[in-house]
Parts: sequence; C-alpha cells; structure tokens
Amino acid sequence: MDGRTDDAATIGVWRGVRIDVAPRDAVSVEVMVASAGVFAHEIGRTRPGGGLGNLDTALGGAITRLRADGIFRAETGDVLTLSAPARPIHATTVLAIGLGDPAVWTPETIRQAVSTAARETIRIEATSAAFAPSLLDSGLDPDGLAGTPDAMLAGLFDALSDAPARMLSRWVFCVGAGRFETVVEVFRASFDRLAAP
Amino acid sequence: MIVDDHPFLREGVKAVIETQEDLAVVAEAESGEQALALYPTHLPDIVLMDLQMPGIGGVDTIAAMRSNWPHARIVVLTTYSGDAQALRALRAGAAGYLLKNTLRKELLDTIRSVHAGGKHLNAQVASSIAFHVIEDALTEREIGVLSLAASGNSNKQIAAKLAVSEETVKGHMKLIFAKLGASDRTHAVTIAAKRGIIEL
Repeated sequence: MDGRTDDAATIGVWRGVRIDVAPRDAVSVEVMVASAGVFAHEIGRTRPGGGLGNLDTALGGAITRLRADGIFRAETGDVLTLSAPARPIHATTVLAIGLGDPAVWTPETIRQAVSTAARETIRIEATSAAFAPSLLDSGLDPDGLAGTPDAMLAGLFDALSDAPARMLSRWVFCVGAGRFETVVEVFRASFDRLAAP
Repeated sequence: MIVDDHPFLREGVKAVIETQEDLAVVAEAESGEQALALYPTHLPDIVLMDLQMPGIGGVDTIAAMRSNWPHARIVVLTTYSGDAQALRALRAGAAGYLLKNTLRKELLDTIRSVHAGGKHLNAQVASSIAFHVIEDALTEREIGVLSLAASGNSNKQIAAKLAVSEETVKGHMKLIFAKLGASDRTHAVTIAAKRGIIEL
C-alpha cells in the first residue's frame, strides 16, 4: 500500500510527499486512506455515478444512506470516516469529505476539501492516501471545472505547509481514465507553477 | 469521560487513552444517570459511551446529553454491531460508533477525528445500516409485541398485556415475520436481537 499503482503517473515531490495521478477511484486505489468528495446532493441524477457510485456500492450504499438520514450531511467541511471497510475497497480507511451544494461549487470548494482530507490523513499518520474529487460523478458540467487541478494541489500544499507529514510519503489524485495523458500534463503544469519557490 | 457499567472495560480504555500525551480521562461513570450528573462538572471534549447499561441506557443518555449540551461529542463503544441500535444512537446524536473489539489505534484516531468535528463509523456497521434500509422498519407497536414475545409471553398473554385481541397480536406477528424474513417467532426474536431492534 505505497500509493503507487502501475498506472499512476508521478507529477512531483513536495515536502517529502510523492504526488501521483492515477486513473483509479477510491475503491481500487491502493493506499491506506482513500478519500472522496461528496456533495449534499447530485445534479440531474438520484445517486452518484462513476467512482463515487462504485465506492457507495462497495460500502453497501452507506454514504448515500447516511446522507439521506442527515447523519452525514456532506456540507462543506464535513468529514465522515469509515474504518476497516471490506473488499473490494483496498484502503483501510475511507474518508467522505463534504462538498456542500453543487449549485454553488467553485474550485475553492475542492481546495478546502483536499486540505481537509490531507489534514485528517496526517492526523491518523497514514503513509499513503488518495483523493477522488467525484465532480463529474455528481453531475457537474465538465466544461465548468477549469482550475480544478490547481485547486486540488493548492489544497494539498496548504495542509502539508501547516502540518508537516511525518509519515505520509504518497498522495494520489484519482481521475477518470478518459484523456488521462492530457490530465497528467495539466497536473504537471500546475505542480510546476505552484511548487516553484 | 468513559461511561460503561463494567469497571474492567473502563480501566482498559483508560489505560489506552492515558498512553497519549494529548489525552486524559477526566471522569468515569457507570450509568447514564451518573454520566448526566458528571457531564456539567467536567465538560469533557469526548464521551465514550456504552449502550447496554442498567437504568436509562446509552441511547437515551446520548439524547439527553445532546439535548442539554448540544455541543457534546459522543462516541459509542459497544459490543453490538446491529444496524437498528447503531441508527438509534446516531440519530440521538452520537458522532462515532465503534465496536469494543476495535483496535487501539482506531479508538485513538476516532477520539481525535470526532474532537475535530468529524464523524467516525465502523464501515461494516455503516453498510449494515444501509443494507436494511430497503426493508420495512418495524413499528413501535410491532417492536413492543416482539419484545413481549422474547420475554416468553404467548400471543394470548401479549394480547392481555396490550389490551388488544389475540387476533390483532397474530396479525402483528405475521407482519413482523414478513419484515424480518423470519420463519417463526424464535427466528424473529433472534434476528431482532442481533440487529439491535430489541434487547434481550
């Protein structure tokens, strides 16, 4: 569980943490802590699709059930930790990170979510972790997601700056398999820009 | 604060917590009533709460604690993995639900996560809650009937205690069997106890 999957592409190392992008989801990524963004509701669908849908299914519908019951509202900043999940989930801990109302989503929302996930990962002293934004899975328009890689990296850097990760050595951003090489290049460009001194 | 009627359990949890520099046990209670009396004196950051205790029990204690002190952060620590029990505790305001066979590190992680404002559940308990949602939940009356059956009462005795006809009780039992997927009353009692719908 070092967070490095065969299909992962490394985009850089920052403060001792190797940052990868992988065409995986929170179910299949091989890390200790798999985190996923969850909106308060989906747009144009009754349940999440894609990777977040896979995660919810692998958990027996727990995320959407707890959300419907108000136990996990998925408001911005909400964190639901599910420990010791069963296979097919590879991680030993799943974090559902609230993204709030999808109608008012901005890149800043995802920056805060990644930062929250990273802080929680550092708190529990995991050595590897992943974050799946789940934006398309929740029905957001792909044309409205500009700035997302910058925001996700900035969120990770925020957390690593505030709380040095003594144990964390790998961080994986889970993305869709479509146009993977292009997405990797976008992340690399963001990394080069944001990591520059 | 640790709330559990078993002194050995309290001692064990306390020993785990006190290995941590940033954590301390400020109070112990052996019942819900005692926990409610001690809470305002110590105002603990986290309450570790058993569910099965003599007196008012864990779920009612959680509800009372959250009603009096809405910012109370409570983690259930129980042997019961049943979905109904867990759902009642979470609806009452618990922020965490762990089983007593939880590993030491998970307990400490949960305390810190909940203190930071998060919620923490054992994934299998969470899945169990979701799995049973597709079924019809038992009504309060059906739970009452089944609890009386679990205590060894016949349909006739249940009818007398609830001041209804024996036919009405038979009707309740039929619906209970269907909702729980049980083949007879013993099977229904077993399923309901395992899921935490009734207490034996």
